Amino acid sequence: MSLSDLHDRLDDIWASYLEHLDNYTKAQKLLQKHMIAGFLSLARANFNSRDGVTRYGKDFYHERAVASRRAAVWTDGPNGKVEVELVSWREEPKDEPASKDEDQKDDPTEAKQQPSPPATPEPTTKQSDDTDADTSHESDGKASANKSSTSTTKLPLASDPLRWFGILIPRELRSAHTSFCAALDEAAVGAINATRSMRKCEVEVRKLRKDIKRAEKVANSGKEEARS
Amino acid sequence: MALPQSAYKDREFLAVIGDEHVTDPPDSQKNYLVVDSKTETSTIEGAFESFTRERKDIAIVLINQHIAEKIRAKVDQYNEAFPALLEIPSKDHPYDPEKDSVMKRVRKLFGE
Repeated sequence: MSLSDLHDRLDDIWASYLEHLDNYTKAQKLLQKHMIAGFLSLARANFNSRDGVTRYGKDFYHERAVASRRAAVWTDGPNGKVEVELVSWREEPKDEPASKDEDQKDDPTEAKQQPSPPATPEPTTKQSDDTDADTSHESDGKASANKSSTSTTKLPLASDPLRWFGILIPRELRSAHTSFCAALDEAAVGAINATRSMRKCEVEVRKLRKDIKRAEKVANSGKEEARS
Repeated sequence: MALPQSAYKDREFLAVIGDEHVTDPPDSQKNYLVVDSKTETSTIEGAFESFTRERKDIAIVLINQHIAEKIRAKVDQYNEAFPALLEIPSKDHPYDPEKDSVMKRVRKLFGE
């Protein structure tokens, strides 16, 4: 490969590196946005708790809690890039782990044993600002979408963090849950995949820089020989 | 060079090192460490080592950035493909790109 080809290749890698860096920065911003929204909703939920004393936190955690999200790693091919994604415990990951089959078999029985919770009346708290109203509508929408898609199967108690806090949980707590899930599903995974791609580019950049130095040395020594 | 499948095929869990607002409850084996003001740095380092080197079922390690600061040398040195490491903001400590190990690597690559 000639020196100019090496420079062109390096430029291409820099371009893709900067693109991945941009993706990483955006993902971090999104992550921060979701986390802030989640913490804000959690603070509101604590503020509006029924007895004024309840603090939604560690005290309510289920002792036999199991993961509700699982990472699935998949690759495009033998030399393809490796990507990470998060899947809910009900969904099929692209690279099926061996233990997954057992989980899937257990799920329907577990789901049947769980009594369906009664309909939860929405608390009639006034929404003071538009953003809050938007978030709650969004979470309600998502909740109803989840209800419709999983009307026949309910999550076991251990896998559904919202149910640890009782049946009549405030809307703000649902909103906090939605925000934290979005932080993981959208932002964190995006940041991780961008980081992985950046690492790959970094290795290539270092390798190409060495190749360019070597090629320049050879070219310079050739020129000196020609002069002498 | 493609990553061997053995490097990630059994990895499916998320591990968290964070304050009490961020950490999730565990699966059968503890995959989180709740860090407060009394937690010693050696404990955080131990959990980090365990999640990144000993456990083969962890795919992603999330760590609060202000906690990563306490074990910065270890976090900066870590350069394995799996588990993937991500510094996240916490309730009282917003994300600071100046401290992020990924951004430090970027600056180093640009020669700053």
